[in-house]
Amino acid sequence: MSPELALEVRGVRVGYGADDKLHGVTLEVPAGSFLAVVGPNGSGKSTLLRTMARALAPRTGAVLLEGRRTSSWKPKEFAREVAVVSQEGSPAFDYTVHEVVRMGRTPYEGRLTPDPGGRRAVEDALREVGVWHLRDRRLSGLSGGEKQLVTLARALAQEPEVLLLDEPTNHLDIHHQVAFMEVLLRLNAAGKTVLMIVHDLNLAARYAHRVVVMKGGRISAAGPPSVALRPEVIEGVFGAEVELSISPRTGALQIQPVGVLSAGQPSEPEVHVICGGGSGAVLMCRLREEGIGFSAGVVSVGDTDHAVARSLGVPIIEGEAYAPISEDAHARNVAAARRARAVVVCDMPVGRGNLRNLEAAAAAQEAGVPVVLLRGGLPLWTEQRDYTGGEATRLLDRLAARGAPEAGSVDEAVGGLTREAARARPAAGRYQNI
Amino acid sequence: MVALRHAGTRLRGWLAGASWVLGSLAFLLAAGVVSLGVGPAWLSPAEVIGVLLGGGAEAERAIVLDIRLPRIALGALVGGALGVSGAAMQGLFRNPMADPYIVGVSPGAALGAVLVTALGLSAGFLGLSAVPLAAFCGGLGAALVVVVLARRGGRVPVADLLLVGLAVGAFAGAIYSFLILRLDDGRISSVLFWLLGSLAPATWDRVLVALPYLAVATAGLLLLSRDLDVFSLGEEQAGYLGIRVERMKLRAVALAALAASAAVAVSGVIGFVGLIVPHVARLLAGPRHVLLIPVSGLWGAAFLVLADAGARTAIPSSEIPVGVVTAFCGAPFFLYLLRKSRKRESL
Repeated sequence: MSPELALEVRGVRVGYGADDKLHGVTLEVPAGSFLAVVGPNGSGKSTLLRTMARALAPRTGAVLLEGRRTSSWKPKEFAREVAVVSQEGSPAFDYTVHEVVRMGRTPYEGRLTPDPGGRRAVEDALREVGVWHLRDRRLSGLSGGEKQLVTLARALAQEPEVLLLDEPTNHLDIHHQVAFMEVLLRLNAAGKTVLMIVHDLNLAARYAHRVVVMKGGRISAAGPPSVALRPEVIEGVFGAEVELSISPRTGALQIQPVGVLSAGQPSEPEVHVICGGGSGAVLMCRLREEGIGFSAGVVSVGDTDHAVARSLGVPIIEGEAYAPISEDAHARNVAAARRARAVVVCDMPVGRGNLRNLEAAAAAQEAGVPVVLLRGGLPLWTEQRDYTGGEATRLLDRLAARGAPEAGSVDEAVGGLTREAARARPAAGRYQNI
Repeated sequence: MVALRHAGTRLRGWLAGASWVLGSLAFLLAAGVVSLGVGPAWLSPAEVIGVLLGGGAEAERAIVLDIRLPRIALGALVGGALGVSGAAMQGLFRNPMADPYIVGVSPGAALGAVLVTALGLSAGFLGLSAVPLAAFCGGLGAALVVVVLARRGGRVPVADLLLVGLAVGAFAGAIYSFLILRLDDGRISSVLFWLLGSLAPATWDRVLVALPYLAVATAGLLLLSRDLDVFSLGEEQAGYLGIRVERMKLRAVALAALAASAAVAVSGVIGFVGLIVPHVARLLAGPRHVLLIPVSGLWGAAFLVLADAGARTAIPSSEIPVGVVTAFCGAPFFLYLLRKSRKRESL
């Protein structure tokens, strides 16, 4: 037993009834640490927190506060060490902010004896959290974010060493979320131990020193954010594919869901998108939003458009990175373009390597598939897009000359395609019946 | 400077509390003086005060001091008990719809009273005749049964307390209704009068018998007032703040049931006082129980004294049960409050 541990959970099993909610959880919370507990709904996070706060008694195992079993602490002594900010709603009656924060002094008040440090502690808590100006207001008149700050102030009035928080920033807007977390960071820097359950993995990654990932009543990973929140861990626990990046502003790990695994089949492609270099990203997102099925090609592995198309789960004709489009890829690209009801050629930079993308569009046009040329408004827009010495421009001009309309924006292109799709759909039904 | 200003606000808060209590006390005294003058022989407030200070004619002294004063004292005592008990029950159940009888006190007391009447018992104890004694035991007994039945694994969930209270109350109600049907006419009317609540059989003995229970319950609940405040955050949260929740619940139920049973024993079932008075007091004086409990007690006392004056004089040469008056005034007022608060919520 090391003395620097604030809380220690030893092989705790907790059951509400027949089946256990925690299956032997062991966790060490060092004094002064900032721990985030994440996990899907029903993974036992709240049960763990309530057990640590003595609201639930472990069936086997023990929780130790400063080396002593929590059950051996007197309630008021325990409440001077550990404060809980839970998700419970507002008080049943309409107290003022000051009165509610004052309730945090309960562990220090005897029935008839005064609480000498009380006034100071309440004042400090109100100021620390930044609700001093609200002190005489009634709680019913406050916003959800303000109420949550008041709850935190009440916990601070307890002058605890350990703060346990159960999804404290739920339902808070971004402003209050940041304000809340800033307070927690300050408290942690001043030596308080913080254990917080959060839904938002980015909050956990941004603020916590250590992250504990729970699933099915067990701890499935723990460690610094970059270790505990590895993509394969998150995929295994949440069943969602994620992408990690580092925020250029804050330097914090960012977790971005790429899509939920095996969530439905993408609809049958109606449109074939010819793109590259990020020129098709916005269009593809819009098509997905409008529910129009599409395929994309030829996009190189590592290209932004490749990543976007893959994350949207649509059929892709892949090309090798930094290599010209192969014979095989070109043939499949032409086939996909001919099958589609319409082809959109995005405003991509064209070089020798991907010139065949334009040839594929021309082949589809010859086969009678309408081709749309999308112009402008793209993320990687540059002045020069023809790196073929004029060949690409000639091909585009020919497409235009043979009736391919130009769409000035993604909106215009999608609008045209939606009308097209609406006309085409009854026909498709007839074909399917044959 | 800041400390000074803060000391100022604290002093203001304390003065505000004190002025609420003193103002309520003055209101109660005024209600008492008016009520002492009301009846078949009308006396002005000045005459009443004269009598109270030792003056006045022999006949006036007899009317005020011997006939009306015990009754008004009893009314104040019962109203106070109901106000205090109602405030505590609402705090405990975290619901402004709770009343002193919520844990089965009134049906239990009624069963005791009807049972004794049906059996024709007339033994007395401590200056109480059989009916109040049986009512007191019935009320407390019902509360005890409810708590025991609602207990689950060493805990008494408040929601269970409410439901078991309803069931036990209905059960007791079934028995006493059956018993009433088998009583003869004379006894039926006396039992009915008791069931509807009346201060008619007021004597100094009754006042003195009920007084200690009210004093104990009020003092005990005042000591629990901070716990009741914290309890409004929810049971689990109260536990996180170091309150021994189960012990505190049992104490609050016991004290509130004690006050309610004592009130029912000496006056019958008087409804709505314990429901409305704490509700209004909370709206005006705020939810803090250290102030809410005494203010509810004083207003309950004043309300019942005035309602009884109405009950004595509404019909000449007869009187109606005071419980009818409180319900008649209280129910519409309660509906008004309900609509008002709903409107505020929907905004």
